[in-house]
Amino acid sequence: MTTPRNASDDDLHAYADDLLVSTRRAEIEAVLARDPEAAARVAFYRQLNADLHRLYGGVSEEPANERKIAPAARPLWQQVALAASILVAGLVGGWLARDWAPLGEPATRITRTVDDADWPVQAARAHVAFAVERRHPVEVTADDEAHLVQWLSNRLGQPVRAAKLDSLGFRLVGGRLLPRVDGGVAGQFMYERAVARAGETGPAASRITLYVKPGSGVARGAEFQLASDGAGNSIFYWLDERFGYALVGAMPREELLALARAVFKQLER
Amino acid sequence: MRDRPKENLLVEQIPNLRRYARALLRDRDAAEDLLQDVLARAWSRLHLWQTGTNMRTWLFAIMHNLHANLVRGQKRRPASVALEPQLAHLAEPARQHEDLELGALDRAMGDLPAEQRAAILLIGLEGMSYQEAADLLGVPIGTVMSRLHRGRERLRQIIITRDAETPRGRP
Repeated sequence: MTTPRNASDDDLHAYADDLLVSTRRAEIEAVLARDPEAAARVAFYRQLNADLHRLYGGVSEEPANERKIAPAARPLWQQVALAASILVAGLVGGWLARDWAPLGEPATRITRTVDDADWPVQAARAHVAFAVERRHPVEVTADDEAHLVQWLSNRLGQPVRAAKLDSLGFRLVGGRLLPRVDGGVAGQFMYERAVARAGETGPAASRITLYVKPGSGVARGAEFQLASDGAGNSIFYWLDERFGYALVGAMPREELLALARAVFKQLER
Repeated sequence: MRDRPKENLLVEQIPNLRRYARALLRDRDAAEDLLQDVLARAWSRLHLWQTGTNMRTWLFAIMHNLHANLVRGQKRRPASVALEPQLAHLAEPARQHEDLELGALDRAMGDLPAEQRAAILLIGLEGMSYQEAADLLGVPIGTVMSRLHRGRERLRQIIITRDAETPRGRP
């Protein structure tokens, strides 16, 4: 039996679809905070949207069909390169086991500290510093990936790999070494969309960086934390025995989380 | 926004139209036929499209009009070839078994009436606003919300029932 629709249902759908007017967000978030059933529904709607992309979202390139339908009488016909398949992986399955999907919670704003405890902030600063560069955003390009990986592995003291995100539409640009505030070093891998998305202005909009620093030495279940740098970038970070990872980008959180999940899967031991 | 040639704007939408048609019709061949019909009509009427208006809305509206004609035509022909919603699986064979949950979602989508499925896909897959979906479907925005709600809630009930049996994994 379907829940009959009332006015507040429209709000829940709109909130889940990010179509709710900003002036009402606080009001709806308050409702969700005290109503677990409504919160569960919103979490489901969001997961559904993500799963629809996984299921149907591959935008296929079939140029042969396009040539067939091109009317021969049109001299102005130009073939435009079709967008590469962008499969947006679904949300981490564990989210639904929680009381409330963390993507709906306000992101943790990390306050500035001097020691390495704020390493996700350092990751965000490094992202902002380099992602805007057009000509030389990285020190070692993807052409030299083998050298890049060897170099960073040496400096970080443990083998590290470059995750492959091509199936999610991102190609490796390259990487660099970064200093840490506590005197150590970190690695930064930069990726960018293989095909720019309409509306993304400037090189930084289509780039993500993965900050890799030596880990805690303690094996623990990896849990994604979310932070924002207050300048439009989201940071998904997690700490493991060998490395701490922070993925930074300006795209919607669902997409960034999908990328973080892919990185986690590839680099976990 | 700088004016780009109409042809380029149209071609850019073809992958979106294709994926939507496949997800809506749940049959690759039928989707391709519909897409060809849509593009034939769009090309012949492109001179009528006003620069600065939303190309995507215009194309998806054409798709929905032709789809409605298709469905009406099928209803008039008794028995023979009704569109079976549960026909071909959309996922490529290699990916079909990759995720049992996605397969279950795909089947559940097939159980929905086409108009509910359309609303869910336009909003959730194509990322349209409720107004854009209402415009292209030629219905009031409340109708879109109603179809969206019924469709999503029905999926939720199906999946809740299924989830009661299977534990969720870690990241």
